Amino acid sequence: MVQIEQKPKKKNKAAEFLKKWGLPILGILLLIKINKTYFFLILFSILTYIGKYIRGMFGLKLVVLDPLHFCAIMVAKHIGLKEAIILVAINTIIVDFATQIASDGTFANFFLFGGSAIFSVAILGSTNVVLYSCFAALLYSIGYYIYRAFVPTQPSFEVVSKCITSFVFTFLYSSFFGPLFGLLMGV
Amino acid sequence: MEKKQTRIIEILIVAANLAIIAFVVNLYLRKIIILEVLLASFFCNVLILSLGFFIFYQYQRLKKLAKELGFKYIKSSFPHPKYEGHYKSHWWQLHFVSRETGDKWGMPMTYIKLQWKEPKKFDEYKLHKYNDRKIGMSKIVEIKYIVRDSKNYLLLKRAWYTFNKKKIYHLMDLLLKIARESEIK
Repeated sequence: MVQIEQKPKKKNKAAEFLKKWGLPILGILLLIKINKTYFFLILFSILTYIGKYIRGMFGLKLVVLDPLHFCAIMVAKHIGLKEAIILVAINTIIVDFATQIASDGTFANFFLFGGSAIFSVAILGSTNVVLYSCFAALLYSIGYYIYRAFVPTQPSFEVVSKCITSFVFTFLYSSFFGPLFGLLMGV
Repeated sequence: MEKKQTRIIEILIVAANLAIIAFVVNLYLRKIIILEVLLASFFCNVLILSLGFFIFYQYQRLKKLAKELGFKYIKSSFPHPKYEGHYKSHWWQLHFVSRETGDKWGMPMTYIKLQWKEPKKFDEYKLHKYNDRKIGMSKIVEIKYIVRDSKNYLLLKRAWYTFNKKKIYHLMDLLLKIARESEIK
């Protein structure tokens, strides 16, 4: 009697990875599908809080590190303009009043973040993510400079550094995270 | 020895990051992750690495200053360390702070505290005279007297972190002068 020796099966690592992480990934995708708006509003608010916390904690006052503007652009593009305004309102007006740091700048930020994101998506929404994000960042930086330099006069070094870092970080976030969020939000 | 330690830490951090990048690139080449995820991971890696180095170098400067002043760490938790020590026969504390809330949120500040065990009385009007004033190279935000259970202190708040030993001594001398001028006996 001839015994057929069975060769040990080569483990497929990609299949193993999918087996392990497939269900959580599917769960997240399902949550995005069921209620995309709430999911991203919560996720983006958390990301914005982390950015602000790092900035405040380590004394990076001149660096605009929080991704709120980028998140507002993403929401305006993939979910809706009304939802983008809600996201900006939560993370500027509501958060600043809750943490007792509300000032005229809070409202200026609300109008500038919301306005530039919506205007940019409305005008250039059909183009590349980097392009409309950079346009929105440019609009915000110019608006912020005009507001800070002429309305309540402040030291120009602080204003210029905030304008530059805000633009640079929105550009970086849109270049590196834009395509991924575009895919996730387009599901 | 310290320089050697610093260099070893730097090399370890860079090596760990290179290993992470190699791992992510490996995942991408084996088609487990897509290009968009690869780009996002690269950016996260660079962002965390930059922040890590920023914290590390700031910690090194603060440690060097404590050594130069001959003060001891009483709270080692970074990023807001406190040192205590004696200068001109007085008990001092240095605190490097950046508050997450309040009027000056996110502004790095150097708190210099002239401390006593026994309670004191100060003329508030004379202390307030120094608020928001530029003295020498330093911008003084506020000077106030604070009473705690275990101690009392005259607090001088200066905008931005001060790593310079001479500036710290200058501010301490100034606070001593203010304390003498405004104390009610």
